[in-house]
Amino acid sequence: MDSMSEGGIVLRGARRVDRALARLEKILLAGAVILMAVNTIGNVVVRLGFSSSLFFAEELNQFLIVLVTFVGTSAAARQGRHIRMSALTDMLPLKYRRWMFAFIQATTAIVLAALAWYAATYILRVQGLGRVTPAMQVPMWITLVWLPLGLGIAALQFVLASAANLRSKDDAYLAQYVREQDDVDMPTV
Amino acid sequence: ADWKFAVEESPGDVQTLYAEEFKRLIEQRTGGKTTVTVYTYGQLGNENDLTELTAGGAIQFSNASPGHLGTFVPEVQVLSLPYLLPESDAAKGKVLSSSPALYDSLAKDFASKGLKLFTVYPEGEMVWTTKKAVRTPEDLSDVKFRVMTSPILIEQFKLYGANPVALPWGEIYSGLQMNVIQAQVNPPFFIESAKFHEVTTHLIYTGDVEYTTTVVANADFWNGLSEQDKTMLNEVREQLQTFILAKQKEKNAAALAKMQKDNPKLTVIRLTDAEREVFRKRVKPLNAKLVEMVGGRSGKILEQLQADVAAASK
Amino acid sequence: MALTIILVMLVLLLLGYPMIVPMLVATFVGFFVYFPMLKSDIIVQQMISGISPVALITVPMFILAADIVTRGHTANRLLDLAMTFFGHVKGGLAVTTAVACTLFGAISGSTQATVVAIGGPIRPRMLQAGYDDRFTTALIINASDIAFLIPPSIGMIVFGIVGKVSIGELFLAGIGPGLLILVLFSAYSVWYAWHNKIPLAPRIGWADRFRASRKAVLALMFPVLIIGGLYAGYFSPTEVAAIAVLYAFILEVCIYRAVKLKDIPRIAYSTGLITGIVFVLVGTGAAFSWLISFAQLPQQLIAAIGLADAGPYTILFVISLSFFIGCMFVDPIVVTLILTPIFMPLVNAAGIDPVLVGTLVTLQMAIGSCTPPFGCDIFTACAIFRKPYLEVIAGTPPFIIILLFATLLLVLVPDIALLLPRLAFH
Ligand code: NA
Ligand code: NA
Repeated sequence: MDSMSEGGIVLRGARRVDRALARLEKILLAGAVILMAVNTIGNVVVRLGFSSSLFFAEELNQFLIVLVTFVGTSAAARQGRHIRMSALTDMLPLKYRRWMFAFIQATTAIVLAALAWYAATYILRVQGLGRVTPAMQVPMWITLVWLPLGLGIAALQFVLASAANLRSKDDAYLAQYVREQDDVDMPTV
Repeated sequence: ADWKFAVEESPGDVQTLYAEEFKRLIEQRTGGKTTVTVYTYGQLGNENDLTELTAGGAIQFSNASPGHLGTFVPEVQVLSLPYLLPESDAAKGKVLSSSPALYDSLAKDFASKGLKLFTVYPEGEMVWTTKKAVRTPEDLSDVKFRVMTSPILIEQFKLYGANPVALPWGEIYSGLQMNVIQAQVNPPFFIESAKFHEVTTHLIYTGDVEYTTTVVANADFWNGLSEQDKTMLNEVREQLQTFILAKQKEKNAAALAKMQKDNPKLTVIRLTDAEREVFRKRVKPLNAKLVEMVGGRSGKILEQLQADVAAASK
Repeated sequence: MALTIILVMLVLLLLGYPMIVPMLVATFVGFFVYFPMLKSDIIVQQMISGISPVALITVPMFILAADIVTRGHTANRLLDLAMTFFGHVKGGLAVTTAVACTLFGAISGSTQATVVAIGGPIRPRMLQAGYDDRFTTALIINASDIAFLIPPSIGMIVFGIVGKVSIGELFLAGIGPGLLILVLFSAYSVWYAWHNKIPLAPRIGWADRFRASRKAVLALMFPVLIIGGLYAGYFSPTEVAAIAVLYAFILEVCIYRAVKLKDIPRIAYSTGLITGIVFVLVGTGAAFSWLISFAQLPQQLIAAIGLADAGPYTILFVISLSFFIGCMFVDPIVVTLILTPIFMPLVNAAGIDPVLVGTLVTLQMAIGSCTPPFGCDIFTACAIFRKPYLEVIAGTPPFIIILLFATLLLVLVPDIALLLPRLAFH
């Protein structure tokens, strides 16, 4: 991939870390959704077959929803798939659109990074309170680490996308490797 | 100043009546210098959120019921143990208003989480709504009984001989309607407002648990109050305790009347002393189980509370 | 404060920021400019609360089931069958779409899952048949919203609990308006097909219909299993979602062998991504509504309008309008939690039937799911159809006008909603 070898040492390092993160994202998201399905189906089977219920089912699903929401947020940033109203930016000429994209992505990164920071401090406080989840008695902060992680990596994605727009001459980028005209390399419904 | 008081219930419910009377009394006594804003269910988030908001200082007062507070101050769950509180209203009121086990001992656990335990009051007896007559544990053997997600509650209903199911609040009505569950437990005014009597046929008064709620304040806020304000708040608290004991009785009686009017086929069963004794014996191991599960100072608090109950019942 | 926050949101939205940014920045402004004593923790806490309701699990589950089904043969066999029966009628495919969305919504109670499950497979068919993309997308997201009115409905349960209205009566009351809207949408579809000269498909003979039916019989068991299980009382809505995934898996992976086991992780990843895109907005919406609730903006608004001694029509109008506007910007369930306690005393004092109010409010929730700027169904459609935001909402105005017309009819002829519960309960 050409773009992998471009850029200074910092950007190249960031891309390398990012590739590892992308793999991890895929595994986590797919794993969490499959586990969600198995857990929910298992609960039905246990209820129908044994007139009982898995005491942890509801809580595990809530945990998985948090994971999927925030890991999904970073995955969506990587694919340039976050929902936005593109009506006005679409009317700009390419050159200005690239600059506009770069600016929007850089400031979006700041907002998400701020939220990631707030999430991290919140989790530290939850940890300090020593709260546990009602069913599984797991420390509550463990269920929440996905917020700062997902939001932080999403912020990184927007930084990389912004950099791609600043460096490019011909294309406007929605994400690091996704140009606005690209078909997203992902199966959809 | 403006004090913010968030409750877990909707307008017209017991907690809201308490908070509104609190507002009236405070504003009257301070001549309007201190105002109180009351937030009802859902406005500032769910029950767990309210406790965190109070501990964090965004609001000054909030309600926290043992079921939800259990993740925050686990020791508070001793209050939900069956056949623990005295049966007579006077003795029950006395224990909840002034028991040293609560206001000296348990209050320390609240303080360690940044909360001041302001008061504990009853909201009504926990009543079962079922689809058949229940008088003995055997009657429960084929009943899927909805309880809140709590290992202790699940254990309690297992001991009773039922098949406890942890179903979210929003799924109770349809669960009863679709026969996914056959019973649930709540105080009468709650059952009436959630209309569970439309989808069940029997109300069982077992006399096992009083649904209690605590009012907590932010600890820093409380410690920063003038002595004068603290005295005023303590007086208001005494006044409110009498007010709410009467109000919740009235409210639950009205709810029962309304349910019987709505659903004329509803059968009300009050377990006799002998029938209660059977359930009481069955559920005895729960005390030790709770202490084992919760740990911390729960054993000590339970012991103290039992002593306070014995003293108050004399 | 209200004005500043709305301005901040609108400007950032129009500049083309990802939707999460306008809502977050508006919330930040409220917190740090107007209530500096509030901790940022609350924002995070409310985001988590927003995605905590257990029933939300149905969304990824139905997306997953639909994702499996769409990659396999189920949807195509069902649609082939539908085509053989309805394809030759004017607007037949659009009507089929509306009916299918309504049926599926009635099973799932999730409008978003309906957009995915029915909209996903049926959209290419409609486009192929010559329907305009804007019309097709708008039809799908609006027909899916009937799910809010036809039981079971999470929106009605929440309203019933907060507003103390009989949930049983609300459920029955939703059926009339739901079917009314289905009829109105179908009529519009037929007119649209006639007006735009959508080519008629040739009529299919009974031999082919029989063949298509036989090929679709297992796929047809899908709705039968779900509806049957639900109405016979075997499954709760959450369980139905799980059963849907299981059935989709058995059918496509084990029986049709159209989807390979090794494809499942990729499908699950895609489901997770779409879920993330939607849920992060739901969470952010929850933080934003906490702020306006804390600031008591709704209450100030009511006092400002001076509603205390208004007549029933005025009150119904104001309630519908408030919910309509509220649901434009915030998640419908959150709007319900905030506005219902404010309005109910007013309703009871004026002697208006709370069941009628509940039905009206639910209708506004349905409309709100596909009105910009915040509409869960819009986001879902953007995500799964990979369409820009503006293109998704481009075709919605006629449908929203129809829905507002239905609101008007409901106010003027309350029996559309109240007849069924009256027959059943009185
Ligand atoms: Na529905
Ligand atoms: Na909307």
